[in-house]
Amino acid sequence: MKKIQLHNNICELSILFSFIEELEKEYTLPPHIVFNLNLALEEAITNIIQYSNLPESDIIEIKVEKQDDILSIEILDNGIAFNPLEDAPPADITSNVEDRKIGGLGIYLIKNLMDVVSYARKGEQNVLIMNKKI
Amino acid sequence: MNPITIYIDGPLDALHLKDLQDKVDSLENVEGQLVILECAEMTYICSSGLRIFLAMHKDVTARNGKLIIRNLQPLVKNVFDMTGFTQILNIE
Repeated sequence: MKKIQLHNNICELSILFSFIEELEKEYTLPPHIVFNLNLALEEAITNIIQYSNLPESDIIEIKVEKQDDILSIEILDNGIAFNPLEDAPPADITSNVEDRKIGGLGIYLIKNLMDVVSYARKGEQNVLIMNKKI
Repeated sequence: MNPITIYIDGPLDALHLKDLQDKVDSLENVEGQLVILECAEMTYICSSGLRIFLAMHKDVTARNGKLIIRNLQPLVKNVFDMTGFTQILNIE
């Protein structure tokens, strides 16, 4: 298993992107998988940083495990209970340009880019689990 | 009137949004202008990047201009398709 810890600060995304480069080399991931991982993880981490209301010193942990051809990614944060799969606003992908609402796009992307996404509240932590066939 | 072209290079992730926003904010009179976002070198876009594109489209259109997005790379284009942005923006 590979893992990293990020502080609750948007600048830490650079560490996330470096981590995904490591995964790319370690697991010989093709470009479209790397692209999808970057996007799904950026959206998940950005959501936590923007909405968890935690101090910058707080830690977000990401664990990645590969079993056969499935990458399983767990993101753990210490924020108040928040299930992004149910509590985020639904994404608007059909309205005309004037009426288009912009909320919920991040979660929508995560659901579409990953094969399986689930949420659990474990103790005092939010756990978002994303699986992707590689 | 010559079009205004904005070139976007590299990833448009949350760490690079400000670069694009600064370019957009520095645009002077776009009244009735054709504004081109040249994206051949843009390797990635996050949802906040999409929001900037949408805001620009609305702003330029409201000023009787037209915003055209050119040369999206295939993986980036896929994000526009997935989110329905292909239907509402001018993509060439």
